[in-house]
Amino acid sequence: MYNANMKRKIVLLLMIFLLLFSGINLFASSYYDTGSQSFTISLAADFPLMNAYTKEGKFTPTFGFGESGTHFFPGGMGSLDYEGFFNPYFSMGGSIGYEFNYCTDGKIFTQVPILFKLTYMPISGKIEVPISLGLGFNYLSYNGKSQFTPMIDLTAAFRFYFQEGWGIGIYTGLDFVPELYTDSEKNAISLFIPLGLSVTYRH
Amino acid sequence: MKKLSILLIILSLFLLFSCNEESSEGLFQEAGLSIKKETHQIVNIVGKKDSSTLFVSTYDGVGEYNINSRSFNESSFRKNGREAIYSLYADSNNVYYTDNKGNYFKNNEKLNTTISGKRFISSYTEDYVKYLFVFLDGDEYYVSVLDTSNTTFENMTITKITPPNGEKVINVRAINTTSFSIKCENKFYSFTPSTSAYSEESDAIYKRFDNITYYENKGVVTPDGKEHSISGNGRNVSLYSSNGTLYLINNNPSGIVYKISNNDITSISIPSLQNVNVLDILSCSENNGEVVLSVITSFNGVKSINITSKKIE
Repeated sequence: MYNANMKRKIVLLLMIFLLLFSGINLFASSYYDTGSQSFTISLAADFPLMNAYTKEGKFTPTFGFGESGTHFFPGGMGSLDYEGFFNPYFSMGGSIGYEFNYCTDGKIFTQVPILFKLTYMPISGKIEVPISLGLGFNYLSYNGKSQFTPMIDLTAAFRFYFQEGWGIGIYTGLDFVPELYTDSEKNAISLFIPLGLSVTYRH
Repeated sequence: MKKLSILLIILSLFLLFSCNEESSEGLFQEAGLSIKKETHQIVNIVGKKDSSTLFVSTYDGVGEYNINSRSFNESSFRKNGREAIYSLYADSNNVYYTDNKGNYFKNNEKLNTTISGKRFISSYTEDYVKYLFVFLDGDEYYVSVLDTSNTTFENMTITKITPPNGEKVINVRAINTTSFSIKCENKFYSFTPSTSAYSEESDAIYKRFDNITYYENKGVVTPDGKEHSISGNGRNVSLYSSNGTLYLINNNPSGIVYKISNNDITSISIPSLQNVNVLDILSCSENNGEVVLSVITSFNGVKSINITSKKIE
C-alpha cells in the first residue's frame, strides 16, 4: 500500500517537473548548430576510487580513501573546457585541468590533465545533458618527481541555462589514468571520480 | 586529416613520455605505498622511561613516545627549540641536552662540568642505561662511558683519545657498548676505555657485534674472516643482534634488510621500506617461523617489518 502511494507521488512529481519545463521542449531539435561553441569552468571534489600497482611482487588493486585503501584522500579539481560543434549533436574540443589529492604521508599528488574531448549532446536547450569522452595526457607530480601518462576520462553533466547563453550544472565521471613504464613493476592504473559544479557560456 | 594528425601527435607524446624511467617506483605506486607521518619528526632516541615509553628527540623538543600505542604523549613535550636536536639523554625526571657549542643543560639549568666547553659530537646506547659519548675540544677528542644507573651526567669521567705514536685523530665514534672506533690520518684503531687498550684495525669500524664487524668501507666481516660487501655506506645503518643473528638495515640505499647468521649474509628486499628512514631496531620477535623487526623511524614512529612476508605494518 505504502509502495503504491509512493510510486504515485513520484509519477506526480515527475509530471509537475515536466509541466514546469513544458516550454523547454526537452526532446525537440538541438539548440546547437555547426559552429556553435561553449566554454565551461568546473570545480569539483575528486574522489579516489582505485589505485592498482605492484605491491610485494603482485599487481594489487586498492579501493577507497586513506591508509586502508588507495592511500589517497579526497581532493579537489578545476578545469577549463572548450567545445566546438561540428553538427547539432556532437562537439569536439579540449580541456585542461588541475587535480590534487593528499596522500597518507601528507604529501600532495597533483595531476594536470590535458585532453582532447568528444561530446555527445542528446538533450539540449534550457536543460542539457552532455556526455563526453576525453583522451589525452596527464602530467603527474608527487614527492618531487613528475611523469607524463595517458589519460581517458568519461563525464556526464546536467546543465540548466538560466539565461540564453549562461548555464550552471553538476557533473560527474570517471578518470582512468594508466601509468605506464617499460619496467612493468612500476606500472599502475588509477581511477578517480570527480563530482562538482560547472558554469557554461555558449553561443 | 588535420584532426588525425593531432591525434597521432598526442599518441606519440604518450609513448615518448611514458618511457620515462628515472624514478625507482611509479608515482601511483609510491603514493600507494606511502605511510602516515607523525606530528613530530624524530631525530634520535635519547632515553627509555619504561618498557613501552621512549624519550625521543624531535625537531621541536623532547618528549615521550609510546611504542605500543605508536603515539606521542603531546603533554610530555618539552619545547627546547632546535637545541633539542642535540639532546643527550633523558630519564623519568630530567632531560640533558647541549647547544653543541660546549654548553650543557639539565632541563633548563646550565651545568658546569668537566665537559663544559667541549663540543658534543655523538652518543650511542643500546639499553638506554649505558651511554657512550664523544666530545671534541679544539682538535682533541674525548670519550666517556656513562652508566646512568650508578652515576650522573654531571659526575661522569672523560678520557682523552691518545692513539699510539701520537697520530692525528680524524674521527671517533662508539661501535658498541664498550668500545670506540678511532680514525687517524693513516691508521684505524678500536679503543676500550675500561682497559685503555688501542687495537689496530684494517679499516674504520662502524659497528661491532661480538665477532661480526661492520667496517665503513669494507662491508661486513663475518667470524670466519670473510668480507661481504653490502650496498650503501656504513654511516646510516641500524643493527640488532638476536639469538646469534644480526639484522642490519641500511638507509642509503633503503629497502634492504640484511640477515647475518653463521657466516652467511642474506639480503632481503622490501620495496615498501624504501621511503622509510629507520633510526633504530628496537626488538626482534619470531612467531611460527615469521620474523618481525620492530623499528623506530624518523617520520613514521614505530613500525613492524615482517621480513618473512616482506610487509610493513
